Amino acid sequence: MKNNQSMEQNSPRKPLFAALMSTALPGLGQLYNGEFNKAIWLFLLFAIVSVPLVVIIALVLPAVLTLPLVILATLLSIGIWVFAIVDGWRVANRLRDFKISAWQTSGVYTLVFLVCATVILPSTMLWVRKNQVEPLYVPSGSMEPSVLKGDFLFAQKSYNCPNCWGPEVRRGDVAIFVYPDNRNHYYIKRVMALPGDKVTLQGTTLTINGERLNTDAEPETESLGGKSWQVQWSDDVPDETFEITVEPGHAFVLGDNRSKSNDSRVFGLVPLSDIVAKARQVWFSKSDDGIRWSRVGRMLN
Amino acid sequence: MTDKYTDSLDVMLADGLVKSPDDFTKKVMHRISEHADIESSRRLTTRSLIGDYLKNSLWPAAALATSAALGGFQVIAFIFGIWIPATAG
Repeated sequence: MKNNQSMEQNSPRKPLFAALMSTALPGLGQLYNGEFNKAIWLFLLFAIVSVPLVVIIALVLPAVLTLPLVILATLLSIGIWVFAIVDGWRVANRLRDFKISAWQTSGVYTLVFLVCATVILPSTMLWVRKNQVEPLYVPSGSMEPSVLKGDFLFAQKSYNCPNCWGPEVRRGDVAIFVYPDNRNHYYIKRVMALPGDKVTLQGTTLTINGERLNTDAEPETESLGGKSWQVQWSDDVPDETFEITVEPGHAFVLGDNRSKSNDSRVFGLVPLSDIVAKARQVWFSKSDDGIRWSRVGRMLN
Repeated sequence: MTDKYTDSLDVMLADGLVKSPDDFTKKVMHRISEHADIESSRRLTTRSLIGDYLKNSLWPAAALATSAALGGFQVIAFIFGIWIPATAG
């Protein structure tokens, strides 16, 4: 009788406690208020539906929708967080006669917080960045004019992976890969040739398997596999010939800013397994002169 | 030896129980039983004094505020983690 009475003692909920707990973790304030089911759903909505699920949907839809959907995911997660705080406060305010349950102890709240906030949330975001979408900053001009120095872009990580549903590496893709000479760095270049392809670069004329990529358009443009892009050469390009046949399991990459690019002409072929992402869309761009609003939302592949 | 009917206590008991108001149990007995459980089982010890101090001081609020701030940072890191760029040279 005594133990039952102590478990059922009246313990009015404190609105400030509930709000602060939901600030620490969406759903924790609801747990404090004894709303077990609502706590679980709020946390699941926040941790899975808001950012991860919307980002995955963004990868299925056209690339032009990537930026708007990532913005939507961010706003959705902020909205769920704010709702959890406000709802925790309001419900606690009404719970003046509240019979606390045996499991509602500081130890349980602490354990839930530690598991969710320090394990589940960081792991989920790491998974999204490693396997779905990763934001990148381009500090160099080696891909100009396609990708400018100071561009911030979203890259699709579900790319070139045998067990995922993403696309394979294709000629003409703007790809992100592990830099062969320093595996702690990513590089961004355009994939020009795949295993078995013969690449010949004579002066500014590029041919892949005997097919000339240069078109007659101005400014200088190359075309391959239904894609076209502009390239930049300096005025003093030596009339030298560079030839290579791409080995199995490798790719040949070039920067669009041909005279100012450290690419396969310098560090050699890139293993296909080191190609980790495909550039998708510019989400922000800044230069020394300010923000380049015209580039926001520009698609790259 | 006294006559059982002349003893004043016996007289009172013979009159029967006093009728209590309808809400007596809710207002009085409930609170007495609550406090009886707590007060009767407690002994004043150093541990209970420390416990009282921790419960009634600002420590719970300070701990909660600190947890809220730390947790809030984690939540913000999750929300905006999709916007923190790596570098691709």
